[in-house]
Amino acid sequence: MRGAATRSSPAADLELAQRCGQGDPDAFEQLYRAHAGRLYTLIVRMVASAETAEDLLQEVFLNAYRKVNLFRGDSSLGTWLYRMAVNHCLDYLRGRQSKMARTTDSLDEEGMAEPASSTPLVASAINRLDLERAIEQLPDGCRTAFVLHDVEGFEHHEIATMLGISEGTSKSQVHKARMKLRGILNGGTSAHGIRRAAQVGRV
Amino acid sequence: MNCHECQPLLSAYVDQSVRADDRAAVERHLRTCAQCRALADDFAAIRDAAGSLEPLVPPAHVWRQLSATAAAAQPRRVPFGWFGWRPLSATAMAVMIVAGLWRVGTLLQPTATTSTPTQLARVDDADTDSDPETHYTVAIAQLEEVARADRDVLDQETAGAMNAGLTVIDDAITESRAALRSEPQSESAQESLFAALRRKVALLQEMVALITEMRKGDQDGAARLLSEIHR
Repeated sequence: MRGAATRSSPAADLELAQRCGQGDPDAFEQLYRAHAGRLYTLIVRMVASAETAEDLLQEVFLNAYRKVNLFRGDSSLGTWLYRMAVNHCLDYLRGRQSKMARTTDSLDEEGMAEPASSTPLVASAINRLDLERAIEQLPDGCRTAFVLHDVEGFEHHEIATMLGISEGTSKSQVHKARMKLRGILNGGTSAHGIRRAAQVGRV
Repeated sequence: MNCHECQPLLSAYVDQSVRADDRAAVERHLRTCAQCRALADDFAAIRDAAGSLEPLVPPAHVWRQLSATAAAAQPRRVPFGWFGWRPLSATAMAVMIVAGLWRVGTLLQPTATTSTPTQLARVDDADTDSDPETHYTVAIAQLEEVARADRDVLDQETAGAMNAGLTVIDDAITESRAALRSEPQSESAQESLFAALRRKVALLQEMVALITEMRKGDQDGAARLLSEIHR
């Protein structure tokens, strides 16, 4: 489970949380420096917008700062913050999705109907930047499951718990995401003309 | 098993999470179907590429804004579960006002093009009494008052540059309000107004953060801020 990895000890986590809870600004900065990168990486990919991710990251840390006295060390500080970030992203996406439901539904249908006969990718030639941009184009539902599973490394049963869905739904969303990504990386469904990395010989 | 039956199982197959009997059937099909083999290879390639994506780094201004906001807030005390506020200096009070603005700003920003401000304001339990424009306007006025009181901390050139920036934004606010008066239902005019108000908030945030650094005597922090503001 790459997403929940942490290097700090439980005692160090508790001490840091207590110092934050006393309003120690250095401790809060230490907390931020230790975890902001991982949370920002998650949030950018979950919400598909760096600008929005900056706002959400601040909100997550501010919420954490306010609630840090509730941290009891049952999990690591990293896991505690991570869950908070996932939930905050989901709240944001639910708000956004309710306003864009029709668009998203039509994209989902398009994804399900996508033929599997498009040109195969060259496995070694998936350009990271192209992949990042392709992930941004996924519908929210399948992007969330894909990011948590394929990027962050969670198991389906963990994703099911986090998202409040069944394990089967998590699997089918990841499948749908990979199918759509394949099409986008092949240039088939890209709205922004992402070209197939293999065609320009980049690795 | 044909392609139609095989393909929905291929993601689970490459993740080695497909049931044993399905696995045998998928493998039999893959031995004879190049198209499904290519699909399975691509799923595995996408998964592997996704798993090796580089971590991202949040921009420096995120911490600057966050630390300014957190400086005015205290962690909740347990078990009372409510905020305790420190005695506030004028500058800290300004930071706290900015914190409130920032909250409204983040509520509006991601969805402002698709929703009305009134709907969005309803999301925040602390801000249900009036519309976001009122929050912006009232808080900006308070913030400007504090900034005016503390402006002696800023050197003439910086204060001048910031005032020039505020003038440009104020012009945009005036134009947007005029456009809204002639077309009250115009979403683009409404969005322009909020965008301009957000720009004003952002600049005032920078101003307050800069004043805070100057008051702390943190010349390096102030220099960093200045270079970012100028950029």
